[in-house]
Amino acid sequence: MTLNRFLVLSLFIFSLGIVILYNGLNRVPLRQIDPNATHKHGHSSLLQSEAVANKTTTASATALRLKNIDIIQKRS
Amino acid sequence: MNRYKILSWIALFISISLLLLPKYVPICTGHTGDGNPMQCHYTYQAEFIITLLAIILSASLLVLRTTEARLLASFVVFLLGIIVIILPQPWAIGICENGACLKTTFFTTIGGSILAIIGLVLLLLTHKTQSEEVI
Repeated sequence: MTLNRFLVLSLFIFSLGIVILYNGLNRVPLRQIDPNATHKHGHSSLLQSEAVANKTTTASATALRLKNIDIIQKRS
Repeated sequence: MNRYKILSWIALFISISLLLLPKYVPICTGHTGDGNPMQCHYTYQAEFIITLLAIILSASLLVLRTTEARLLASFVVFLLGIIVIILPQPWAIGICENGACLKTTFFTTIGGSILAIIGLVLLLLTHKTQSEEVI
């Protein structure tokens, strides 16, 4: 094989590779995620996590907030 | 078939194996908290381009005739082998701590090491041939 023919073939293989990369054929497809879903390992404040865990009604929200502040004070 | 040809064919085979590796030993398919792909995805996209280049250069070892061109091609194959090893390192692009990614990186590191060693051996072989020609 001559060098010129090799260069043309290489260019074709390289272009083909880039097309494969662009279309994502080189890997296993990424998992589809719900855009509204929250990430479980993200940063959240103690107030938020405690409130979500307790699932209280609006009436007891103030009491819960006070309780959460108390928890924060104890932890710190 | 001399040693140079055999090593060039092995380098080509290793490069093709590295290119196909994430397809058969897949990395994780998760996302980060903000919905973007994880860093292991980007690492293996980069690995794909590097191994594509490694394939072309390994194949060029079989086509090139002059010693200088062979020296340069084998040196670049050696460097590409090192890049293949470096990319998954945390100080380069990095991978996540998922078991699947670690498994793929294990095989990638082995392949990259072999490619780098073959590149180095080819470099030395060609250099030896060049020295003999001069004498």
